[in-house]
Amino acid sequence: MPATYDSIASVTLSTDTSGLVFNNISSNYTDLVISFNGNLTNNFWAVVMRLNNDSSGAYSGQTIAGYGSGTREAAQRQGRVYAEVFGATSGWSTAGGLVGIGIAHIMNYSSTNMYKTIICRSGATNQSSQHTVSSWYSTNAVSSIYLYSSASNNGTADLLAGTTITLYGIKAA
Amino acid sequence: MPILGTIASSTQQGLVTGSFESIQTTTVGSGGSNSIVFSNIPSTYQHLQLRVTAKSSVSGTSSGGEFASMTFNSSALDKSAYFYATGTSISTGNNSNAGFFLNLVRIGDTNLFSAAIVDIFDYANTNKRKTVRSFGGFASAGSNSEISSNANWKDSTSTITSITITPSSGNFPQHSIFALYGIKGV
Repeated sequence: MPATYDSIASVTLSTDTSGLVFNNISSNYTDLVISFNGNLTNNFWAVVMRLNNDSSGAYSGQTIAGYGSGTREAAQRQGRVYAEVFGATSGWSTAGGLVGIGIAHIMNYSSTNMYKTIICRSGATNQSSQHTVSSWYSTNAVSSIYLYSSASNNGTADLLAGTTITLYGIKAA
Repeated sequence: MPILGTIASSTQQGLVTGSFESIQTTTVGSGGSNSIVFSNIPSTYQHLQLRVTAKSSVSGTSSGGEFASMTFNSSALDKSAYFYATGTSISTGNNSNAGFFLNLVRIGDTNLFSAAIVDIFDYANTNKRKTVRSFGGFASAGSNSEISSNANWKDSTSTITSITITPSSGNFPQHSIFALYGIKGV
């Protein structure tokens, strides 16, 4: 039986970076998985994703999050220019040493029979935990993934130096 | 806005070969399907993972109520707890259907599918009752969205040799995909 779970690309940022793009993604896999271990340079923003450089408002999302003492929150987003993936709703603090982690699964990313559904779990040490499901309303195969901070649209939060992001492919039989 | 990090995606290296293997994949055809069965599951792995992209054939756009559930060895699961949200509404509790694992979007939300990842731990360990973790949902641009995180439990130490997945009503329409993977231990 062939190997099924491949590391496609991985990067650890040497400097604060406004965004990271995975280009020319092979269509040979079934699902894509992105792991994130790091943070942003400004407080309480989320890591977001744009597929195939589509900024047309084709993203929707549903998030559930828990943070603080018994605080929980849910939100539905529609018509966004990005998909929230990590740190959605509450964002992550940049307090010294705080690390955010997350895994996002882009299901059936190369199928032209469906919009793309992205399911994510993320959290930050001693701060918050989030589950997010997002959709990209396009039947195009995903060929590029752009990860950045939602603050970048109207602020200056970057991906923090030292952040590691890895792209995996999963191949079904 | 400058993008300082651009990675050309190419396979650089494989992870540990053979630890995560595809066992079987079912893609629903044009006639739809009212159940998905994985049978004769080999006992040679340590854990199982189901990766599901599916929807309900119930007409209209989603307003909640449709879901997918599973049984093991043709026997119902015994307990299930959930953490669920739709819009800004949050609820927690125990599922009356203990095999529940995914809220399904309806057929009227064209091209939109629900997705879930289901982890079944130590499925072949006859010293353990079976525990399942799942999360997933769907995000609609025009109607309700739903997300849930679930924990399920089967009060049996028997090895799981078959998994049956069914919708709460209607069937799974064309293009729904159910993929079963095995994860090996050391």
